[in-house]
Amino acid sequence: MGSTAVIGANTAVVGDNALVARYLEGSERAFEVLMLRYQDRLVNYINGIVRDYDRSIDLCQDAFIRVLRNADRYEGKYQFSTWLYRIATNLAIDELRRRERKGRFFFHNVIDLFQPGQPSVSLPDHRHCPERTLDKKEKAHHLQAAIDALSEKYRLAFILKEVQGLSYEETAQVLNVSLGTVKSRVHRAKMMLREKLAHIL
Amino acid sequence: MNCRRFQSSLAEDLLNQGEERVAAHLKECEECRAVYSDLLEIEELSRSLSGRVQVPPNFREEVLAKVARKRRSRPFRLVAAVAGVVLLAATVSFFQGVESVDSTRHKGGRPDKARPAEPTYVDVIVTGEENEEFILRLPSVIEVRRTELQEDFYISNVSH
Repeated sequence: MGSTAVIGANTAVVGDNALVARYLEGSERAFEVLMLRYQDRLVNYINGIVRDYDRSIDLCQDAFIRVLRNADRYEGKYQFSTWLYRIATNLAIDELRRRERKGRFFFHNVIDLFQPGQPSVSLPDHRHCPERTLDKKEKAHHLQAAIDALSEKYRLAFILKEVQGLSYEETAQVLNVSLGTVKSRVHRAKMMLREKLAHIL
Repeated sequence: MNCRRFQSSLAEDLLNQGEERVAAHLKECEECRAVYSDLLEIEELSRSLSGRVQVPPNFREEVLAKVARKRRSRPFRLVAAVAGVVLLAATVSFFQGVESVDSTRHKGGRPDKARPAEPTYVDVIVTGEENEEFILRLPSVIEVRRTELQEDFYISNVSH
């Protein structure tokens, strides 16, 4: 009779810190598991800030490379995800600064105008057709455009807390600001978004 | 509680923490209910933005390959640079006393054929992992030994 391995309630998920420890012991596979766990979340996060898919992939890879190179310095003071998000945030901010320095106008919103169903910077005015109800997908596109228009400090706090689903505490740790500051920024961002999206909510 | 206090309490997340006064105001104030309902919709829509893009299939392999390349790149570049210096040193030895190598000399004036040649140095630019540049000032005659440790190469000894 052959034996059967049952993956059930007793199967423990290896924690992030344990995976980092295994990687430091020489297991490359452990790091692959970590990447698998965070890669899509992280690329979505970075893309939400820099709004350029190809650059987001590059920056996401850079974030993991930094983690790999500095894994031995990870003290476990914060959660691994917090550390990873902080590295990704710094890389994304650097990218925005680089663009500012180059004075490069970023065309994603203009390009969006030529892609049906994609968010655009000039939102259609639905006040003139009140009978039209936007579906969730369309509303999400409008929301994305409104988030893009927020200033950086509100955008980062809002994306981390509401899009990525981090707690207020984690968001504060990633951004290295106080809990009160994060709560205030997230709320302020929501109120600004509400104002921008008043006609579709 | 008035509407202003209610909205600032939302910033403090007091409703989610079960504050009764906040919940009571929400029950009795239609305007604040509208605000609260909009904010809940924004939160719900925001969550739908979280999974819009995915990494390409070869993402992890590329990360690991890049790390392996970076690990190797610096020592390999150093070895290549040092090999170049050795070649240059051999050339310098061959043409010892010829003034055309003066551009690499940093000591003394004109070489005197009667005396032993003064030490000759060459500056070698080596690119680091962050694309930073290091200028290595190396003597004309060096000895290079290569040791192998795991997958990386290190220069074990550089001397006159």
